[in-house]
Amino acid sequence: MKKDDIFDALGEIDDKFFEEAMEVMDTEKYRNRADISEENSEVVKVDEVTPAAGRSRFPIWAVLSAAAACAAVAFGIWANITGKNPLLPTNAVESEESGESLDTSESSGDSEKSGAEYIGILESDIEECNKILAESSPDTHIMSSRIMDINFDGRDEIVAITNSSYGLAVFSKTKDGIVITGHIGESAETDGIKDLALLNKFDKNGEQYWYYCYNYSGAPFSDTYILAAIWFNGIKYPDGENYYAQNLLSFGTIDYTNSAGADTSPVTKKFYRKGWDNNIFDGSSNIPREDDISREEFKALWEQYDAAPDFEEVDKYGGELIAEYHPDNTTNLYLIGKEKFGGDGYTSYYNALKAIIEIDGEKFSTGISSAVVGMRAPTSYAFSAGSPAQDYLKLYKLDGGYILSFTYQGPELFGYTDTSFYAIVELDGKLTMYDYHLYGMTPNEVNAMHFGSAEYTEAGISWGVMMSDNVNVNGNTISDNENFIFYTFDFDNIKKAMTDIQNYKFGYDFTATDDGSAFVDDDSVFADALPE
Amino acid sequence: MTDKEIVALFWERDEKAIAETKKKYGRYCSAVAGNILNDEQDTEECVNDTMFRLWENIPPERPERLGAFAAKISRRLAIDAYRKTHAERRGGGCVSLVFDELAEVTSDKVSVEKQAELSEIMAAINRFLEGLTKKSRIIFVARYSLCESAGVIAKRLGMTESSVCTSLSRTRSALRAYLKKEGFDL
Repeated sequence: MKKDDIFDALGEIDDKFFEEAMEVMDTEKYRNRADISEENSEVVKVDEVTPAAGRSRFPIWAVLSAAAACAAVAFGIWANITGKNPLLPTNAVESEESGESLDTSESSGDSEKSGAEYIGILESDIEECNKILAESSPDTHIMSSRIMDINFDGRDEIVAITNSSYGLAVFSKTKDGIVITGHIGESAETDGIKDLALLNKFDKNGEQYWYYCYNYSGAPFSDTYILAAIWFNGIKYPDGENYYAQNLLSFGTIDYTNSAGADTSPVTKKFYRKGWDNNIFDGSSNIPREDDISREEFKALWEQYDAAPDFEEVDKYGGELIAEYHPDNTTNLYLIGKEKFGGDGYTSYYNALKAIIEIDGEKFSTGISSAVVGMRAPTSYAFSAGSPAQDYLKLYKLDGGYILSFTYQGPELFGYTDTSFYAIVELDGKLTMYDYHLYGMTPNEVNAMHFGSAEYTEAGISWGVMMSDNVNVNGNTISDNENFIFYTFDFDNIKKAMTDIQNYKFGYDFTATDDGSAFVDDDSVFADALPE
Repeated sequence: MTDKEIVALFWERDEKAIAETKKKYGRYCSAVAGNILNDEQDTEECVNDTMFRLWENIPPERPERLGAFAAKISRRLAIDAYRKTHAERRGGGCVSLVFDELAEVTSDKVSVEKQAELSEIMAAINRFLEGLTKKSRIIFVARYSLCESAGVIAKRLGMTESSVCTSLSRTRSALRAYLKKEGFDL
């Protein structure tokens, strides 16, 4: 094929594309049409020149552009109308048409910012983002966030993972302040998201998309991992941008009872499927679903996403983001923020467990947990907001990975210590971030929670963390919060450890990395909390 | 006058159709041809030829989008003119003439095959364009179908020229990958 052929073909494209471009390029140079008399603006917003036929074909778009919160619904409707799945690999599903939507507009060219700039932007902006969210939905707050160029326009946005059906919110910074410019909803229930991995990129036909892998756990699902992609349609509306999230692939386990048969014993089934729709699992008659696919077929689909977590690893252990590995070894801690919420007659200080860390050039954003660390009542008493979280911030460089921990002591009234842990682990040459949050509990509750079911349904990893304060460990009572003991497992044995967790065992050694004085190697400590 | 009314005039063999088309879409055609030829006189000739081609082709054609239909003809004619001009520059009028003469010998067979291949490419490109975001598509079509400059496109869309160029580059890469996947020998 010669270039002339392509060139000629481009002159013979469908009239509608020709007309679409001509409408936009409708400058004086092009026009002499008597039926056009309005002022010809210098700059055209693409959405303003949408052919009327196009708008009437999908009237829901116009509505949704004004109500960005419904973007996920829009996508679902759009997908139903067109029957297209714009992000699945073209050879992933035979029935899929070539409907890839490729946002090829503008690239990042000036998005490289120094770490110092990131601190400045995030520190002020996250607080502002939280305020904005709280104004629109009081119960919504940001779980974690990340600065990234989500629409590839060369400027960073703040992408915030929220705790509600808001899903992911996109904030942009303008000269007038921070504004929500988009939402990324889910086609599945966002309320069920209990853990959300960081965003990552993948390439498709030379174009880059963002995707993330999140964990969902809610009856009847024991544990489910979903790979979802974010699709920006390239159209900027005056009130925001349209982002869509599409669940691409999912796998996990489901517990169900075959009520139709004689044996009604619960059955746990592992499933692999394209997309994700938990609503389908509303009864035993639908299990297994007809569109469930084999593990091998699923694996083949999964692996088409170049940057997706290694399937074998994820399938075996459960997992989240596998970040790109960078050979150089720089580590920076960027930020610890604080949050303050008010209510009737009181002000609550929430923890400030928020950090952006950069490891080997890759930035990781930790979550914000929501535990109260202090309360100030207006009349009767006031007390400390607890020890500043940053006093207990520690980043450990270990062989094979990093451990980042936030710990603070809650106010005396509440009598608890709260900690969040993040592990960034090197597995097969890639860095993986796991997080785990412990929300305002007594130390014993922390133990119970941490070594109970939670760690199994989270990222499938255990930190070997014990919170101090009158906890008996190997016959020794640990009573001083300052003697917070941070245990971690031997990273060389991480795969074994993860396997053991899957099997509800803790057969690995704990090694104290904080002060070197403590060592725990006794499963009985955790026995009560372990699932049967 | 609406496109439908003008097309009806063509079908009635009413010469008013030409005047109405020129009145409504003459500048469109002129802009498209001008982008390629960059010569006022040649462009004017091209537009006139376009009107003549319209007269020849309608009927049997009944285009729903007369503007696009006409602009595409203008582009085709302008490219032919451009190639001819550049062939003359390369080898002189004699070479061009010889080439044209020899083309008569082979033109039928080649054109059939060529046309078939062109149709396949065209269909693939249409599918590809369908999958692009609107903005990317407009940029791409404006550049490669309308032959507009990146600077003009950027100004029109409120973008920087480099952003337009980047978008074009990405789309070109995507098109290449797509055509390869479709089995075209690139």
